[in-house]
Amino acid sequence: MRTVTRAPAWLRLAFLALLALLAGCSKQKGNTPSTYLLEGTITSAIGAATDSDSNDAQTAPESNDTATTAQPLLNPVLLGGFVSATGTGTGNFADSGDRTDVFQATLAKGQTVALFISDHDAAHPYDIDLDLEIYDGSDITLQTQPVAMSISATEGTETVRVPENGNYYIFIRAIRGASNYLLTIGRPPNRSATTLRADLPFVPGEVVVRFKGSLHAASASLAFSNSTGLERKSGTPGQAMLFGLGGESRRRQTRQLLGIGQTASANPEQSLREETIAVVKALRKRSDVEYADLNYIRQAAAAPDDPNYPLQWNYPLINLPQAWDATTQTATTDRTTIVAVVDTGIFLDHPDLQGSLLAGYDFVSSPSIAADGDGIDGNPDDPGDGATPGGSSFHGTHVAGIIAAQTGNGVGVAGVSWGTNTKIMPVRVLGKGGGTTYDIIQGIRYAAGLSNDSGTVPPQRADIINLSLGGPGFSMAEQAEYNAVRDAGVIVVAAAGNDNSNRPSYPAAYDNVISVSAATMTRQKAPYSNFGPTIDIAAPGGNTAVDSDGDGYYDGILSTLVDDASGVRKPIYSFLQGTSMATPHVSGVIAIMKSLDPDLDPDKFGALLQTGKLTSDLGAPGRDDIFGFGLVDALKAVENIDIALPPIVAIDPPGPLDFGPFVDRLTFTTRNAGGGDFTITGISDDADWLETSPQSLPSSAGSFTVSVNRTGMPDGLYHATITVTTDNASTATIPVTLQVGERHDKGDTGHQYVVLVDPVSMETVRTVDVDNESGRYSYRIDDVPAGDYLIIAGTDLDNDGLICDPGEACGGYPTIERLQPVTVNSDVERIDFGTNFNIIIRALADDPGHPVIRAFSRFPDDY
Amino acid sequence: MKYYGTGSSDTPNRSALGRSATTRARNGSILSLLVIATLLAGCALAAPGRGAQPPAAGIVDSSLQCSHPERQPAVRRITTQQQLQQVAAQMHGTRLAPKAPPSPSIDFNRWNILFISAGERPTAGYRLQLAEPAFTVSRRRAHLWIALKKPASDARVAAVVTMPCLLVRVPVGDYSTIEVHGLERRYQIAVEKGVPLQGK
Repeated sequence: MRTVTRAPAWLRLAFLALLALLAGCSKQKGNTPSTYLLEGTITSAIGAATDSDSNDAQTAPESNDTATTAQPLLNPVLLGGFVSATGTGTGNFADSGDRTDVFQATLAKGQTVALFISDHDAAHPYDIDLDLEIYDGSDITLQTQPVAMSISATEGTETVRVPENGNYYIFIRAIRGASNYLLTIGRPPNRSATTLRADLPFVPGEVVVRFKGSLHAASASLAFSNSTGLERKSGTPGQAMLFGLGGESRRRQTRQLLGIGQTASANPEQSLREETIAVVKALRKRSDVEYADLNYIRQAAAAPDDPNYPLQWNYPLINLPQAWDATTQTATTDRTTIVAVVDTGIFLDHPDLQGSLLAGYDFVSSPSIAADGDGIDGNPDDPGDGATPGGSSFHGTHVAGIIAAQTGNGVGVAGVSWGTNTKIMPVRVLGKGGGTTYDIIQGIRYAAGLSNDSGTVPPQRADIINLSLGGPGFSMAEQAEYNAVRDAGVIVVAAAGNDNSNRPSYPAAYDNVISVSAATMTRQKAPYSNFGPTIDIAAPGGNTAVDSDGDGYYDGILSTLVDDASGVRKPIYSFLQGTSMATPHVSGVIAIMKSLDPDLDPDKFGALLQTGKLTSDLGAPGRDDIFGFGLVDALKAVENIDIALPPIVAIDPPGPLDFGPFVDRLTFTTRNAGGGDFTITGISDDADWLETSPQSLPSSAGSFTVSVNRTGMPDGLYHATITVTTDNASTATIPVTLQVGERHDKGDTGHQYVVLVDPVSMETVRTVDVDNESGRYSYRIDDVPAGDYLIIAGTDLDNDGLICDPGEACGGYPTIERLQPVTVNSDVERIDFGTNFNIIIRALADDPGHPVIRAFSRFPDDY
Repeated sequence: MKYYGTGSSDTPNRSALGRSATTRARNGSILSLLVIATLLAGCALAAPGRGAQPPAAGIVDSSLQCSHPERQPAVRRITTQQQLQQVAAQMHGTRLAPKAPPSPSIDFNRWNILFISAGERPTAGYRLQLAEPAFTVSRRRAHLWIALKKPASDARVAAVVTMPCLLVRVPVGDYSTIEVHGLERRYQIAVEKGVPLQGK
């Protein structure tokens, strides 16, 4: 009989503790083998597509190896694929490789097609070589040379630019090695370089032309005149030249030579304007012309001449240009309207704010966050709220520019309050890391002309206080301060917050404070904007995740800002997003109202707001928790001020006409939103795919039909402008957008493997595979043992047994970047998430060998 | 662990047992100390302020308003000058004019370059910075320590959406992985081993 000697007590305890630890580290396995169901839906990113013949052995490859079997693509697209120069030894192309993938797409001139080689390794650049070529899509035999190609032997990225509008074959060839890849077709080229600005004043009967490089000979201009009928007025070949349409006989000849029809306008001047635009359009189609444009009159002030004004989409969205017709002619300029920007201070030397700023105060009381070395002082200059150069927001400068950047000065951007005598009172209350309610209270009391810690009050109190700031925490004392400020006659406007929640943010949520939520360019709730019962009004706040109008810039709000990365503050212009940006739109519109009606006070403003006289209703009819009483409408605001207005051309509906991919016809109406009378003298546009009828009406009110013709146009997003001119009011412009080709409304990220992963060991526990059904994948995993799991889904295009490799689709619950374990101790439903190709590879094209999102085995550990 | 978990099949006498138990206990204690020391060393890596001190890491570029396509926190490695320019353009992509100056040239044989984004944040007051010390190397793993500064929970802050990001350089060396600490999760970046830099 064997005797077992007991170990010392401390050793036994240590052993037991160790066992307990080990038990805690392992996945729970009860004596009763309970299992459960886990299910959910995975959504493919819109615009995603997948190579039809990947190496994944679980998929049946559909060949896209030749032009005759080319895989059709929409434009734009992000596609994940796989090619191999030789047999891979595994998967669908184990023996012979998949040397070529061919796609077919309609592309626009100037678009970029890019190939990102996912397995490219900068340390071994010769291991893998993929090439990109595009061929004329009308030649299926491919007898001609590629129209563009990129065939670097060592780079991780290949890009080509599309030479002309048309249908193309896109070839991806594996020269050496095997690799996943991403193929992107971008947006059409920016419109800014080619857009005709018929809304700006120009000289009727004159066009500016530059010939292409090879046409420098003096005889070229004579030949050009002979072939166009245009009369050379000045300039020489090799530079911009001015041509005239000439008299009626020459104009008739030009119309004949360029194939231009007679304009319908009875007004001779308007007829000449329309004909001039038509000539420029025709010249732009000629192969010998580098550019052709109208001869703009730059000094005119019909619209702000601030060079970046065309990027301020947020102003037409709230009918501001129409309101400016009133402010630039009627607003009271002998009385100053003051908006206090209670914020981080303002960069007082910004050139686009010179003349807009009054004296202010710095109420940041703690030297530790003030960044200017002291407590409160009389200097509201913003020294920055960051710890290092380049780390400051200069938030107040951006807010101030939205309200009152100098406008019509040929510099920078326009401000909302153009045409009024509106000034900014800078009041600094935010420093490093923010500010305190106490300092903010001091700031608003100062702005309102009430006693405060500075011992001073401004010579004239503010009419409006803009608070693009907030935080949690209700305070009775703070509420009382806002009551006092309102009692002083000041209108207080504040940002609702950016948490995308209904949590109240203060001061916006206080009584007697106007709470502003944020809307996007497409009149939707901005993704970050707070909502809830305290929202009063919405305004453009921007969305820098999208470029809705395809102008090459994300849809942020453009305004004045500061760059101090060098250690010295320098003025810049930049796009930002937030309810911070929405708030000054409302403050600026109130400043316009106050300039037109000095008697405007909080009561009067509140009554107008609650009766819908300041807004375009959005969301649920009447007031709702997303937009409050609606999107601020500057034109309605000035219309409802009881003063005599000049004639104003109002367009209904306001904002752009969006034809999308299917609509061929839309209507708009015009009316006189001001006083007096005007007659419409012409309707023109700057696109040959657009037609407006009737061409003119003999009155201010009318209904117009706009038709589009997509015939022969390559896929893409197009823009145009319709211009309404009158005899007694300034012009009105209507932006138009058009989609040609199918618009993506779903994506296909290919055959997906959904894996359950142990969050401790990171080993795969279970796997199911699912196919795409209209952009979605429904998955169901039965008999899941109780426990905690990470849920990940991805493709295995190269059949290496790992999902989420570079170039492969990947998603996870709730997001792949922030995976959270799902506890299974009963049936679990609706574990939904999205999946997409690893878009970062677009930016870091030749660095796919070191992915941050780790790959996961699609085979369970006990496979 | 196996040492403690399995008893001997011998039947030792008391004295032998005594010696054996004593020896085992002593050996166990030594082993325990070694394990604890190893664990402590591992724990030391989990907090800045410890570890080897290779040449200093540094910030190449920074921005509060990245326009990076990913809106979530992210860490990416940059391996070419072309990538560097692309990422720098994204870091300052919300800026219209004047354009940000180009990033400086980097000797990628001497430095590993990491792009680090805090993702979208709802207000001002967030910023990324290097911890102190920022870079340590231990057992062929490098560790980069980032601090994500946040505004106080009760502070009033500017209601502008921010996306802080950094471009950081760390010296190449005898390591094949860089672990980046300080965001909501830890990131591991594979790199090629290189010749350690000399000097500071």
